[in-house]
Amino acid sequence: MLDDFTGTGDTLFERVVITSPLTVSPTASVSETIAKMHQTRSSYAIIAERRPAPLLKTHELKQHLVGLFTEHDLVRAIASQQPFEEMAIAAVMKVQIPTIGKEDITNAAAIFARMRQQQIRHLPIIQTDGQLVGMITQEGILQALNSEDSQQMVALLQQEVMQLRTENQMLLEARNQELEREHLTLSSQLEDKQIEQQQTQAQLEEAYYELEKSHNALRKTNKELNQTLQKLQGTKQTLQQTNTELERRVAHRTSDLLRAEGRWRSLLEEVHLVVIGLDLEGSVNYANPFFLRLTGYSAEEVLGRSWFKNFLPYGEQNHTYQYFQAFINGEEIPLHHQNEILTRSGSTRIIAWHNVTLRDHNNTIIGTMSIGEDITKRLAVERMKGEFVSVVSHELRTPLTAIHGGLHLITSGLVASNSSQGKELLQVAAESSQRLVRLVNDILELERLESDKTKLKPEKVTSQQITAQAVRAFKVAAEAHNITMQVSDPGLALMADGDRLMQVLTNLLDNAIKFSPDSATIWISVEQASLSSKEGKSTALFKVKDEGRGIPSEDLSAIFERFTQINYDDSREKGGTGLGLAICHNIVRQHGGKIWVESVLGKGSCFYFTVPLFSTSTSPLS
Amino acid sequence: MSRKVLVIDDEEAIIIVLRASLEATTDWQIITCSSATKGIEIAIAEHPDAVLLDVSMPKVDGTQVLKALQAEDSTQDIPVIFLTAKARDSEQKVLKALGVSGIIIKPFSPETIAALTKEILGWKD
Repeated sequence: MLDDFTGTGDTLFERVVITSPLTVSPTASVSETIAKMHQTRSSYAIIAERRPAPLLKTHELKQHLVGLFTEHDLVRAIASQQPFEEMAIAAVMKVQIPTIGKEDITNAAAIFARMRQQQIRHLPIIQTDGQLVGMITQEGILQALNSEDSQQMVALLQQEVMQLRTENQMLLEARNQELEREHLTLSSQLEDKQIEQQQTQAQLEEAYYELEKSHNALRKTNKELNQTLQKLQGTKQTLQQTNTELERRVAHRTSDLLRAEGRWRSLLEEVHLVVIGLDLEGSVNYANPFFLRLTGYSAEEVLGRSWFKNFLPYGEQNHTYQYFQAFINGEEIPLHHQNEILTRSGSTRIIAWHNVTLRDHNNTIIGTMSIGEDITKRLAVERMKGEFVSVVSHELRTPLTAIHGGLHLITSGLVASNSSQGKELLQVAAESSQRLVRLVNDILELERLESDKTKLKPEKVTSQQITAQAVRAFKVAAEAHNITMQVSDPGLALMADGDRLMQVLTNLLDNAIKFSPDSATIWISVEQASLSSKEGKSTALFKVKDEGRGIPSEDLSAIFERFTQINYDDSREKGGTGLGLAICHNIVRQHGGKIWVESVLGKGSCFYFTVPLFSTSTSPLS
Repeated sequence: MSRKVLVIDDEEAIIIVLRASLEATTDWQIITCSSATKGIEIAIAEHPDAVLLDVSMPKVDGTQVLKALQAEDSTQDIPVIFLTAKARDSEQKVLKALGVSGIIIKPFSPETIAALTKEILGWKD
C-alpha cells in the first residue's frame, strides 16, 4: 500500500490508480522479479528503492521509483539471449520511464490518450519529492471509465481511427505517387541502360574490330619478328663461331705472349747485364739477379727504395737524377749514359746504361727500364792499356831518338864520323839499336805470353838440365867479374816447359850477375817445396840469391810488373828493358807456380819460384 | 853573347845526341844533366836562357822539375820546353796546362831542333 495515495479522496484517482502495485528492489534478480510477476499475475513490476523522505524529517523509508519491468521487457531480455536470470533487475531495466504526478490525475481520457500517444501501457505516479504513489494502467483506466468518460474515449478513438484512416489514405496515395515516380525513374533508367548497352555494344564491336586489326598487325609483327629472330639466330650463330675463333686466337696469342714473356723474363733473370726498373719517383721496382749478385744486395734491400739516394755515390746523384727527369719527361737526350753505382760493401762499379721508357696502354710514361753493362774491368783494362802504350811509346822512342839523331848528324855531315863526337854518336846509336831490339823482342814475347798465343810444352825434365844449362850460359859473364856461381840441385823431376823454365832462370841469373859486385857469389838451388801448389801438386822451389845492392822494400810489390825498373839508369847501364821480371812472372804463373823476392837493401836479394814436380798422375799443363 | 841552354834528360844517349845537334847548328852554350834534382840546382846556379826538360824520368819527373823552377824566384822566368815521347793529344794537353813554353816530341830531327826551340821561344838570333 502506497502512502498518501488513499488520502486524496478523488473519485477518478480511486478508480484508476493501483495503490499497491507490484514492486521489487533494484537488487532483486530478474528471475525473482519474473516469479513475483507470475505469482501476482501482474504484467509489470515497479523497481523501487527505499530511502528516507527528506521532507518528513524522519527516518522512515519511502519507496522511490527506479524503473519499470514489463512483459515487453521480459520478451526483449529473452530475445537478447543474455544470461539475465541472475542479473539484478536494475541492470536490465535502466531506461528512463515516463511518470505522472499525483496532481495531474484529473482526466482519465487525457491520461489514456497520453499513454496511447506514448505507446505505454503502464504509468507510475510519483509525488514532487519522487516518492512512488501508485500505478496507472490502460486496462485500469478502461475498467474505471464512466459513461462520459467512455463517450470521450470513443470520440477520441474515433478521432484516432479517422485520423489513422486519413493518414493511411494519404500514405497510400503518397506511396502510389512514389511508386509511379519510381516506375518512371526506372523506365527512364531502363531506357538509359538500353541506350548505354547499345553504345557499349557498338563500342565492343568497334573494339573487336580494332582488336581484330591489332591481332592482324600482331600476327604480321609476329611473323616479322620470327623472321628477324631467325636472322638474329643466324647472326648469333655466326657471332658464336666468330667468338669461338676469337677465343681460340686469344688463347693462342696469350700462350705466345706468355711464352715470349717467359723468354724475356728468363733473359732478364739470366743475362749477365744489370737490369733495373724505376717508377716515376725513381724508386726501384725491378732488379734482376745479376744486379743483386754484382752488388751483394738482397731483393728486399733494393725494391721500393730510391735508386738515386741509395745506390749511387753522392757525387753521381744530382746529375744522374737530372738525366732521369729529362728522360721521363720525354726530352731528347741520349739513351746511353754511364755512372758509378754503390755495392753493398761500399765499393763502386761503373755501369754503361741503355735506357728505355715504359708506357701504359694510354702511352703514358710510367717508368724506365735500364740495361747496363758492368764496364769497371773493361775501363781498368783500357786505362792499363793506355798506360802501357804510353810507357812502351816512351821506351821505344827514347832509343829511336838516339839512333835517328846520332846517325842523322853524321850522315848529314853536321858531325864528322871520325871525330870523337861522331864516334860517340855511332856508339850511342849502336847501343840504342841493341836496346831497341831487346825491347821489341821482350814486348812481343810478353804479348805472346799474355795473350796465351804461346802454349807451354810441358814434359818431364830434370832440374839439373835447367840449372846446368843456365850456369853454362853465364859462365863467361860471371868470370869476367870474378863472380862465383854455386849450384845445389838434387836433380828433381819436373813437369815443365824446359825452354821457358830456362828463360826464367837465365833472366834471374842475368839480373843477379848485373847487380852483383865483382868477386861476389851467386847461389842457385833447387829443392822440393814444403808447400804444394794451388792444385795440391808437389812443387820444386828454385832460389837465385845474390849479394847485390838489394831492392827497397816499397818497390818489392811492383817489381814483377812491366817497366818497373827501380833505377832507369839500369836500362842503360845494365841493358835491361824493364820487362824481364814481368816475363818470368808470366811463365811461372802459366806453370801454376809462384814467383817472389826477398831482399835486404845493401846486402842482396833472393828470388824464388816454384814449378810442379813430375808425377805419374801429372797431367799436361794447359 | 851566346845563349845558354840547359838540357835535363835521364837518358845519356838523348843527352849526347841533343848536345851534338845543338852544338852543330847553334853557338849556344849547352849544359847537360841526367838527374832531375841536379838539374834544378844547375838552373838556379847558372840561370840558363832556356831549359830543355825530359818529362819521363825516375823518382822526380819533368813536371816536378818545372814546378820547382816556377816556384823559385830566380828561375820562374826561365822558359821551359818539354822533351817527351808522350805523343798523344790528351797527354800533351795535360803537359801544356802546366805553363810550359812548348813541347818537342821524341824522336826529333837533330837538324831542326834548334830552329824549333827558337821558334817556340821567339828567339830571332
